[in-house]
Amino acid sequence: MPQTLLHSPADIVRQALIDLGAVTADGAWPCYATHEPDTPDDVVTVYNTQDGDDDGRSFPDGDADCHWGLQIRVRSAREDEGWAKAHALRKAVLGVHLRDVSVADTGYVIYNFSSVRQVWALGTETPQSDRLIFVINFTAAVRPSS
Amino acid sequence: MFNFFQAKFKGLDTLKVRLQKPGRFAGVRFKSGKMSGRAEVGYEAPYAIYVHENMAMRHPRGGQAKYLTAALTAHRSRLQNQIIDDVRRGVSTVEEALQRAGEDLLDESKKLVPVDTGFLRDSGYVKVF
Repeated sequence: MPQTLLHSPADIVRQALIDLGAVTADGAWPCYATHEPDTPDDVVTVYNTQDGDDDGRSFPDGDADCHWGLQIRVRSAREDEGWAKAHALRKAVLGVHLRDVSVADTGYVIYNFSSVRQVWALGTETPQSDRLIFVINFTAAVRPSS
Repeated sequence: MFNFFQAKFKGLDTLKVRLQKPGRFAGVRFKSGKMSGRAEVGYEAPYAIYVHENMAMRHPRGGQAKYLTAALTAHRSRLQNQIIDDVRRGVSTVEEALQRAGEDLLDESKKLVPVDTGFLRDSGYVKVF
């Protein structure tokens, strides 16, 4: 069984992205988890996409490995800015390795992000608006800090 | 005797069965004569990927985003074992086993597809290579 997370992977990854400086909590390019607000136009949201898959066990200690499915969604009023932000986030995600993250005083370790797909441009936010949507799908290996 | 070393799902919509060491596979029937097979499950509606990837879209008439990935995740182990069992017991060729597994996956996915006109759901397909 995967180790129990007290926070959702989306919350943990959101905090990691804020810590990396790729997004903010409430400034330019604010980042949210699981729910995308209608404003501002330029916003990043992290979603949980599937339950963790047990991917076998660690040989030294027998702990189950688990990869959580996630999606980063970028919404922007401008195509060029949204595209650039999405690619910058993808690059930031690819660089993560053994990163400590704290969510509400609970510590986690993000071992890495894997199966990081290319940025997909989904087009406009039809029918709600003409804002552009970009998504990045990936999985994350996350555990509570011991 | 024969052994299956891998029956795995790769990517968003592709099922793959990889058979290793083909010289040992006496008794495994390949209709096409090939030593490996692949099935593809997907949706042909032009907006299929938009609906699949749009986590912010609401579906008041039911359904959800990730309608194919979620079905694959939920039924991956069962379908892998089904493919292996079908071929190992000799009840079907690899192609037939892949076709059946692909159709099963498509059926499970269709339960999750958001429905408005039904066009997206009806655009689902299975293709065996």
